[in-house]
Amino acid sequence: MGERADVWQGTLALMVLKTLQALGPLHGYGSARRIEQTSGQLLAVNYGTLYPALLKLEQEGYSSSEWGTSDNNRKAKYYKLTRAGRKQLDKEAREWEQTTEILARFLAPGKESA
Amino acid sequence: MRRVRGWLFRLGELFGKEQRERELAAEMESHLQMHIEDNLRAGIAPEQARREALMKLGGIEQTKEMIRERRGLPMIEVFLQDLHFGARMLRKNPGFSAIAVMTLALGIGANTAIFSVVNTVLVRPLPYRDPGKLVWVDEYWPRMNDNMVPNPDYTNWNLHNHHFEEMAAYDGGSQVNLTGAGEPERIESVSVTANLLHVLGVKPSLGRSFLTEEAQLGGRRVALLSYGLWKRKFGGDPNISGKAVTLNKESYTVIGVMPPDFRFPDRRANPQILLAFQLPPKVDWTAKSLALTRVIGRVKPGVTLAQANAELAALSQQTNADIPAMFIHMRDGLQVHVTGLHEKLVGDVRPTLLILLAAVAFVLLIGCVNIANVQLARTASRQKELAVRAAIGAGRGRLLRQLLTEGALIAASGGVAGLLVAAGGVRLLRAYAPTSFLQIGPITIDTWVLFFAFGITCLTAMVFGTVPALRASKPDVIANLKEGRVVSEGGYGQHRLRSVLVISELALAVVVLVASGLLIRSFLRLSNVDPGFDSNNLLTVSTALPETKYVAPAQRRAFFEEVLQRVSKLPGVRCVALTSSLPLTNYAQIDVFAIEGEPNKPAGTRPMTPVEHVNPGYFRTLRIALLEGRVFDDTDSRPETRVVILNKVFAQRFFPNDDPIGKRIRFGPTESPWSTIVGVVGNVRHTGPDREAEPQVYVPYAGNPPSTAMLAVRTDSDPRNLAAVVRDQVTAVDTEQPVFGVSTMEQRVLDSLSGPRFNTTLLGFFGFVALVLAVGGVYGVVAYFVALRTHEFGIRVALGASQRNVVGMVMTQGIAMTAAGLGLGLGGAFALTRYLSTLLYGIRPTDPITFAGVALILAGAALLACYIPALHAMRIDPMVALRCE
Repeated sequence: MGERADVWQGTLALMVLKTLQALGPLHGYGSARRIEQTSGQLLAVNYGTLYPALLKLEQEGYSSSEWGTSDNNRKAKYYKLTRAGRKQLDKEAREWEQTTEILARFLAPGKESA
Repeated sequence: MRRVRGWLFRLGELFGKEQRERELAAEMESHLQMHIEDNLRAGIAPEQARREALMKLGGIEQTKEMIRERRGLPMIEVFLQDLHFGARMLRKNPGFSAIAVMTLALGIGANTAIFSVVNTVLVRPLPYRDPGKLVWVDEYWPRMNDNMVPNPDYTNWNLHNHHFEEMAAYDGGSQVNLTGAGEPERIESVSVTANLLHVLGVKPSLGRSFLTEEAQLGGRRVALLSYGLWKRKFGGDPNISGKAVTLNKESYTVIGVMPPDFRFPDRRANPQILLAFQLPPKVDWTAKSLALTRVIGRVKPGVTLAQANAELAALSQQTNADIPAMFIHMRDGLQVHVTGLHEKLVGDVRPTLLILLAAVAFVLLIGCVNIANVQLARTASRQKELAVRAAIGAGRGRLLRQLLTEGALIAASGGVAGLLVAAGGVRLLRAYAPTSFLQIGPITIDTWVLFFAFGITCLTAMVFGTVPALRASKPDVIANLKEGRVVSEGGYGQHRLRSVLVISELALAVVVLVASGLLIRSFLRLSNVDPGFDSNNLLTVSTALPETKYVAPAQRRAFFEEVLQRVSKLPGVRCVALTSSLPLTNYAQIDVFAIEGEPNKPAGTRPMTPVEHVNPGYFRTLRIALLEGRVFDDTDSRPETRVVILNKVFAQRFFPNDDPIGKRIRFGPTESPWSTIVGVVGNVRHTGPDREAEPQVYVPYAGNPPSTAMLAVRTDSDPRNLAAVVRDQVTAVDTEQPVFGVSTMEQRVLDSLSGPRFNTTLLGFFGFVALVLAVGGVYGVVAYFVALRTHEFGIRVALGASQRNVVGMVMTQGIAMTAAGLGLGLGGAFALTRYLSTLLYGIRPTDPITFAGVALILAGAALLACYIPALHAMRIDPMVALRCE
């Protein structure tokens, strides 16, 4: 984790929210896998990053959880997006797009003089 | 909003914890299993599949701990947990806990007690309405080298100023005989202008204040009683207003009673009765007698001291036009001083109090450093425990909090016990503090003092808790979990830290010790000063004849002669002295004088000297040395004989070149008769042991007997045994005569040193505690080193090191620390002791003997403290030491 934890936590929460929106109710392992796949295996999600993020989302009311059964008949805790979570996702996604857009302008070659 | 929701959610999570723990474990387990299954499906061998999953997912226990910390309100939970655990650790080590708590209790208690005085004297506002606006106004007369305000100056200011809301004055107070209410008694009275109480914003608790017409020349005689006098003498009579009291044989009507907590705004006055100060309403410099006044004013809002000062100085200049020529000379260079009343009342004791507070704070700091050191040792031996906790997921913050909580627990216990110590300390202070501290107000433990105690408790917790906690909270997990000698490895940084702590506490102790050493030496000098008289076996009593009853000098002389006769005939009495002012009391009379044959000096520039009226037996009784000529004899007792005796300083200063015997001087106005000098006697330190003797003369009391006289009775044995019979002899001559000031000369000398004695006792005590703590600290650290190196010493001895070598190794370390501490401390003391100079008598703040003495004492004690563990190291049996691996 180290120093990158904070940034990582914030973006991870957004990724989890997006994943839950895209796939519907999902357990921790599923979310982790999905995030790794989507990132093209560039990210590795371990317990220490995932579970605190899941807990935080739940505490803040963006997700709710209940126990269910997985495809392989294994008991697992399923997280699903709440209404507040959906709104939060929209808001954060917008903010994120804005941030990346700004950064992109800065980083785009030869354009800063314009 | 979300955040609040989050907290509420977490509050709910405080309950049903085990359920959630189980669920979390199940959730993570299912996560792991799903991962393994996927791995298996991907065709990885079962063993490998599990291993890969575990590696990838990271520490399960750490994650659980992280989740725990995010759940519920970990701050509260963890705090309770830490508290619980901390209490258990402290109980496990009762010796350490007791010493730590006791050290802190003493330190915090002493600090709080001293602060309670500081609070009363320096912090708390004066007990008057809007006290910040009250000022003290004074005039300094360079010609007379004295401060005084004659009443016309006051009246002038009062009538013409624009910067003051009000101005009030009172006189220097006097002793009056109260008769007609039980035993005749001598009480202190002060005359005040009608508006003084209004200026202060104080109302009588019974009756009324003075009226303007009562404070004018010829006004009705009225009096306000102090609460104490009213209770004591008049039984708290609720109908006292309108009744009469007799003061100096004159009748006064009581108009009211002052509130119980009223304190007169002047440290020199503690009146039991207030009278009206009857002053002429206009500025009148031609009046036959001028009164000296003390002036208190209330400035208007927004007026600064400088503005007020400038205005009054200008008014004093203008009034010169009305002043008789004689005064003009005297007023050369007159300065007006406007000071805040609070500053005026406490300005001179502030340095003393701050020094005491600093010293006691140093002692507490030493105590904290000591505890920090012991804590450091304890956390060092707990490295393994901490490493295990870190390994199973405790973060650094969590460990830090645990250790800080333990520190806070000690500090809190110390703080609570400290309050008890402070309560006791405050009692002692109330009983023994010099009146300059007590006069301002009651010394109590109020909110501010409690706040202070709480503050320093938190501060101590931080001081002695943080260092070891920071150090111990980053254990090297791998090294500490390995089998073997945990403590001695990786500990050199810690050793250095411990040495630094000991060195700093030694240095602090040196500073406190030097301060107390200086005060002790100064006090010894003060006590050994030759006062010029023998204070052993002297009983002193005073009496004052009301001038209304004993009008003629002959009446007064007859009274005193009779008393002297009766007292000197008492068994056990050797001789009796009578004087207008005994040593260590205020001079009763200070007069201008002229020496025959010298040119007349203009009025206002003539020298002045105290004149003491004494009986012939005075010098013999007080054992004041006769240097030249003769003392008075009975033939001098005739009123028309005019003889005078000089003290040595007087003779040296005014007759530097010739023998004064036979020369003549005269006192008072130029037409008064000459007196012949018949003798020169030794100097007496009249104003206190710390003041050099001033020029002074003696005249026979019989010429013009004073109305107030003091007797000193030289007795064969303990003078206190004779107090009652001497008192009876006085009242036998006149039953209405109060006898007061019954004491012994020794007691008076002791009292005159009460301030220095108090400071010296306190600082001496602080110095002693500092010494014990610092030496204890040295012992602790050296003993700890020896314990750590037992194994090493064992090997050394086995390889042939001699016992002397071992002792040498231990001592070298101790000596190095002591030397460093001493060096730093002496340097610090050298820089700091100049703040003590106002408290010192007869020695410089850098007195080399004190510095050397402190260095010797501390070095000796510290080396002894090293020697005990060194001896222990010497006796190490190599076999045992090596086996204890």
